Amino acid sequence: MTEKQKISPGDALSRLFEVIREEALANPRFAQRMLSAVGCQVAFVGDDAAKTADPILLAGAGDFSAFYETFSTFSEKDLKAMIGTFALGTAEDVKSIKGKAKKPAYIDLMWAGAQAKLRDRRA
Amino acid sequence: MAVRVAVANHKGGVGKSTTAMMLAEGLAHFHGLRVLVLDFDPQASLSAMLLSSAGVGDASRRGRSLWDLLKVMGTTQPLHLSRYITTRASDLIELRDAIDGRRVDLVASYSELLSDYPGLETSFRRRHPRTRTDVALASEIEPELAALDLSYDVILFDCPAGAVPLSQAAIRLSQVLIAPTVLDDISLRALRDFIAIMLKDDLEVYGRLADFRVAITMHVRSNPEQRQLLDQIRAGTYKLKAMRRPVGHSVSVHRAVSRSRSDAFRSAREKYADALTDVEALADELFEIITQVTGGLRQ
Repeated sequence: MTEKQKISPGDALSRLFEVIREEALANPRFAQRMLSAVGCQVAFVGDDAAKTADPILLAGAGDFSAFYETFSTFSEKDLKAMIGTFALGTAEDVKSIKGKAKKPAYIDLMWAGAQAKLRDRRA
Repeated sequence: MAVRVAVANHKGGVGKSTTAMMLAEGLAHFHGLRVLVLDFDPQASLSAMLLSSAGVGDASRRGRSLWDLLKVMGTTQPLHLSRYITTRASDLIELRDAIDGRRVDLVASYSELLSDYPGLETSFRRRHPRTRTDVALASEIEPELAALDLSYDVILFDCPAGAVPLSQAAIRLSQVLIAPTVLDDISLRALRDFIAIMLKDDLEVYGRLADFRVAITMHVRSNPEQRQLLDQIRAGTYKLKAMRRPVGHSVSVHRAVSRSRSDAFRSAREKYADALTDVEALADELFEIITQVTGGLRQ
């Protein structure tokens, strides 16, 4: 067992914040929740965007063109994953989308699924 | 003046009684308030949590139950709500031993009411043939609550599930409504209907409530679906104001709701264990609401 170290409050806080920072960088969802709690809006890009985006939340704003613009930057693979994670459509729904350009159809499916959930949940 | 709070949701099994207990004890223990709880639910869950099952039977034998109160309401006899109050109903040692007036008192329900209630309601409707039962109930109880305004800081109703007159009357009488809910699609759909159909269309109380909050119960923090829903609620997606702290689905809460004997007492730490911070957080938020409603309470 190591001897207890005496550290200053400043050092203790630095270590604490370093752990939080590392966790936030590794877990963008955690970063988003922390920053939302203090009222910060953060734009995630690349892979982090796919991990943190919530299509139901975005659909709640009611703006399909903004919704489309956001998700058109995602890969088909990420869109399919999102459909599953947020239960916006079934595996059959996804399979029924055929042809080369599937992205717009995936986004339409996400929009319709999100709107259905909003209708069910909103008072 | 005592602030009246209804803990209500027409969906059953969402944790109304548990939430009511946590709020009542939290307000008394952490904020020194005098709380009167009216258990309007014939299931008598909250009464059993506070008094134990044997204690509920004792209250009934002494004529101090909701059943006794409703029987009198079906007649022309004067009501005197204070006769049906069991004082110092909580099993918290800190409240049992308090000398500054902080306490949780209770008008206990009684499970025999489950079979007797339809008959009571029929005789009540005979006395008030042209008035909705919930309106008539509320109008009979209102002066009794007003008479207790100086004796209590908070009057808290534990409402039964369903669109039943006891629940509707309690909501009519209240300024603040806390609606416990579980985070799943079925429960959120039921909550949506509760607000739209019962609070807005039927009772027309939604617009005049001083505050309405959703209390999230039985929260499983590791469940990704629940995390999603919580994030969405906090972002305002469903236009619901939720209490800041969801109550976890924990062994501690399960143990807290069991009072083994009417003479068994526990400290707040022993009773709630790691859920005590949830109790404190809920009580703090309700205390903020109450303070805003009243502009400050007695010192």
